[in-house]
Amino acid sequence: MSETVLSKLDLQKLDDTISGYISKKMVPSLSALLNEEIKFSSTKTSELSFENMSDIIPHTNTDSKDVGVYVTCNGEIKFGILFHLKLSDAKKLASKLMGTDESENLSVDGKSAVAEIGNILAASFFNIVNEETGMQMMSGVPGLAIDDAATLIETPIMETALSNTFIHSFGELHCVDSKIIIYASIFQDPDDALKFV
Amino acid sequence: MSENGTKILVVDDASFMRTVLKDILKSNGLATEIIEAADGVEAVRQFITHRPDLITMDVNMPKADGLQALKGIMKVDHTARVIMVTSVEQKHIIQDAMKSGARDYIIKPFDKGSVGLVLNKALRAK
Repeated sequence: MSETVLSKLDLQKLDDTISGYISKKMVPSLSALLNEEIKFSSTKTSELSFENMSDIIPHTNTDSKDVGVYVTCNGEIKFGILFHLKLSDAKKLASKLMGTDESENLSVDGKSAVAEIGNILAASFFNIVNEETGMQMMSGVPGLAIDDAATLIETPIMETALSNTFIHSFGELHCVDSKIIIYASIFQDPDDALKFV
Repeated sequence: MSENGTKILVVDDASFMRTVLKDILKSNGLATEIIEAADGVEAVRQFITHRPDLITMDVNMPKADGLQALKGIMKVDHTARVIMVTSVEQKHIIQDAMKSGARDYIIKPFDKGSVGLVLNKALRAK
C-alpha cells in the first residue's frame, strides 16, 4: 500500500493543472454538445481519507435520487471521473439532447444520452492529459447509476484509492441557459496524482 | 454502392449516439438504409448479413470493442469501408485502427459538416 502523501504545494499544482484541463477541453466540449455557454470557475483538490468521504458529497438534494456517470481511465496513469447531477437536471439534459420530454421518467434512450455526455466529457479530459503529458491511457465504458449521492461516490473511491488516502478534485459546470449543473469529480490514488505534478 | 441505394451500418453501444449519427446521415442524404448494432459482436454479425457500403464503428464498446470488430470485419471482407468513431483522440488508437484497415475516423462531439465530408469521401473511394 502506498504511503505517499502530497504536500500543500503538490495539491495546489495539481489543482491548477486539473482546473486548466477542465477549462481548456471539458468546458468547450460541453458547450458544443449543448449549444450554450458554460460557466466554470475552478476546482478544489484535497487529499482525503475514507473517513472524510461525506465531505465530498455534492449538495444536490438529500431527499431525492441523483444520477452519476462514472468513467475510468487506465494505462500509464489511472483515475476515475464521476459526473453527478440532480435527477431533475439529468432529465433536462436528456430532453435537451434528444428533443423529447423526459420530465416524467428518464427513458432508456435518455439514460444513454446522459451516459454519453459523461463519456465525451471524460474523453475530452483524457485527450488533454495525453496531449500535455504524453501518457497513454484507455478509457473504460461509462457506467450510469441512479442512487443517493453518498452511494454514487463509493465506487470511484473504492476503485481508485489503493492507499489509505485518495485525491479528490471537484468542479462545477454551470449551463447558463438551461441552468443544468454538472458536478465533476476526479478520483486518484496519490501515486498517480503525483504524475500530474 | 449497392444497386438499391447506400446501406450504412451504425455501430455504437449508446443508442443516443446511434440516433445522432443516423440524423447526420439522413440530413446529408448519405444513406437509403441504416442498420444498427450495439456492440462489436453484433457489428460483425450485421456486416455478414447485410454487407453495408459503409460502417461507422465506435471504438469503446462492451463485449467486443471497435478495434476487435474492425479486425473481424476485415477478415470477412478486406475491402469493407469502416470509419472509426472515437471521443478519445489518441494517436496510438487511431493508428492501430488505420493499420487494421479503417479508412478514416471521426471525433465526438460531432461536427456535422466534417462528419458528412469524411463519410462522403469514404463512400466515393473504392
